[in-house]
Amino acid sequence: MSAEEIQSKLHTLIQPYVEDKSLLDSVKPETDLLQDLHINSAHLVDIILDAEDAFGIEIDDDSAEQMLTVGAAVEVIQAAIIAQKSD
Amino acid sequence: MIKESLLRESQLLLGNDIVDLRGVSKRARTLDDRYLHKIFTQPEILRIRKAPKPVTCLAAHWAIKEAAYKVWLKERGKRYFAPKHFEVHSFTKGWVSVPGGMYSFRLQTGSHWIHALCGKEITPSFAAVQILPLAGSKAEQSDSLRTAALTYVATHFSVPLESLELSRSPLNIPKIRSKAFKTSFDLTLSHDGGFGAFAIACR
Repeated sequence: MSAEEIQSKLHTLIQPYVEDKSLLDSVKPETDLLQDLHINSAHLVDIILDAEDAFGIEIDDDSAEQMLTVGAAVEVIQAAIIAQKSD
Repeated sequence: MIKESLLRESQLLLGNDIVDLRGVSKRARTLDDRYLHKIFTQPEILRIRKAPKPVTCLAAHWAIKEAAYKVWLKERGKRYFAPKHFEVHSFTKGWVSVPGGMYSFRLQTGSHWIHALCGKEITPSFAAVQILPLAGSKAEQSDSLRTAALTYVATHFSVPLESLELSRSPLNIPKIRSKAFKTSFDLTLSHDGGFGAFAIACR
């Protein structure tokens, strides 16, 4: 799955947790999930769990720590998909 | 009421977090095992599971972790998303371990909310805390909370409200500055659901 496809799917996953939907119009890899989209940290955990379900992967604690921006989240998901396939 | 002299002598770094318990109860995942294991350590999960009110106990643990993280962010100046590394060490004694140290915390509860205040090195009992109900959108709630914090400072330190400024650092840490006198206020703000809270100490 390409980074663009992952970002598109991730965009859908984060929507329920963003109160001001207009913020979603300008999402870029460097967009900060907490500071730019005002997602609270409890919901960041929801997004990690939603991503695990949607992509059929497991995101360990060390990887979850990196998921502060959209781009970092895409990289973590992409790495988890590759790891899943090689298992 | 806090004595200003005590506040001036303190070197508090404060962090707080309020949780609207009505929102926690509604969350489908609240006591879900996967959710718990992403956030809490094994001893914390055991404590939550054994509690007479597990949802309230979970909210308390979450609030403590968030409050401790806010203090840690002020102290270390770098962001870090690792909830398990901020572990409620002693729920009864009020200690939370953080990467590289230990902070103390104080809990307050209302009918529908729970609030944690965390401080570095000494007990956060010196801080002035206000809890308030908030209405409107998230942005309106933030405005109301900021105004309440500034009004508190203006009233209790007898300075004009318009002389106070509330700004945020690049790490999103709120700060009150006063043009009227040289006092640096350590401020922490939190809102969730229908409640907001602020705590203030000055150095």
